[in-house]
Amino acid sequence: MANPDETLFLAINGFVGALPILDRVARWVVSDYLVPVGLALMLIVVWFMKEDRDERAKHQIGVLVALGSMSLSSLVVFILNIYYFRPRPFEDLDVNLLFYQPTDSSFPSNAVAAVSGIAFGIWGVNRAVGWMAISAAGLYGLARVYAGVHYPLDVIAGAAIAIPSAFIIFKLRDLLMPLPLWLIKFARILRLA
Amino acid sequence: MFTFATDYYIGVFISAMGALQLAASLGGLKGLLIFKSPTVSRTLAIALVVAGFVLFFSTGSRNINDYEGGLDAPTQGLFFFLGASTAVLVTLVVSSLVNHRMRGDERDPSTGVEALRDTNYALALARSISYWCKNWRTQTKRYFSR
Repeated sequence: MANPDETLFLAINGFVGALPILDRVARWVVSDYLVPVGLALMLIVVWFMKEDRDERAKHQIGVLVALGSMSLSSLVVFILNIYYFRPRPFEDLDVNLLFYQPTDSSFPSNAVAAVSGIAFGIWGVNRAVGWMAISAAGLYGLARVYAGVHYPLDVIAGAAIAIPSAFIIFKLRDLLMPLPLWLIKFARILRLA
Repeated sequence: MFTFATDYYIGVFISAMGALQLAASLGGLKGLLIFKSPTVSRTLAIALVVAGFVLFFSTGSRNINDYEGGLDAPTQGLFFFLGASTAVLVTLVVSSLVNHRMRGDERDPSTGVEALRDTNYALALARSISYWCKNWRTQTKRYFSR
C-alpha cells in the first residue's frame, strides 16, 4: 500500500493532462528560471525601493540576510543529502513528467529550500513583498509536485529548512553586521546603496 | 542561433532593466529614471520585466538538464549576476545621459544613493570619488568603524 506522501503525490500529479493550459503554465513555473529569477529581481527592487534612508538601509541589510538565508538553506540540504538519498518519484512510480529528470536526491527539495530562503529573508524586512515572494515559492513547490519531480514531503521539508535558516541569519545579523555594513558603506561611495 | 546561456543572459538583462526602473521609481531616485513620468516609468518597468520572461520562454524549450544543454545552479547564478550587472551599467550610463541636466546640491558622500534624488549618477559618482580622493585618510577610519 502506498504511503500518504506517495498517495498525495499521485493525486496532484494525476491532474496532468486534464487541462493543457495548466500543464503549459506548470512547465514555466517549475522551470529553473521563472521563480528563481523572479525572486532575485525582487531583491533588486527591495534594495532600492524605500524613499526613507534608514528604511532603505534596513531593506538593504534584509537583501543580504535573504542571500545568507538562501546559502544556509542550500548548505543544510547539501549536508542532508550526504547522509540520505531519496529517489525521485519518476524513478519509482508511473509519473506524468513535465520537467527534465534531475539526478540529485528528491528529499529535501534543494530548489524549494533555496527560493524559500530568499522569500523568508525578504519577508523579514518587508511583509508586502515578502508575502508575494512566499506565494511564488509556494507555487514553485506545488508546481514541482505537479510536474512529477518531487514528493509533497520533499517540498515541505525544503520550506521547513528555509524558515529556521532565515531566522538564524536574522538572529546572527548583529554578530555578522560589520561585514554587510562595510559592503553597504562601500556601495554608498559608488552611489549604489 | 543563441545558446541557452545567451538567452538566459539576455532575459535576465531585460528583466533586470525593468526591475531597476521600478525600484528607482518607488524609491524616488529620479537620477536613475530613463523617463521622468512615474506612470511611464512604472509601465515601462513592468513591461520590461515581463518581456524578459516572455522572450526567454518563447525562444525555445527551457526545461533542459545541465548535461543536455541547460545550466547548472552555479552557472545560472553567474549568468544572473552578469545579466543584472550589465543592466545596472546600462541603466547608470543611459540615465546619466538622459538626466545630464540634473545637477542637485553637493551632499555628504555617506548619503550614497540618496544623491540620485536630484542628481544624475555620473555627477553623483564624480562628486563622491572626488571627495574620497581628497579625504580618504581622515574619513576611512570613521567610515569603516561601527
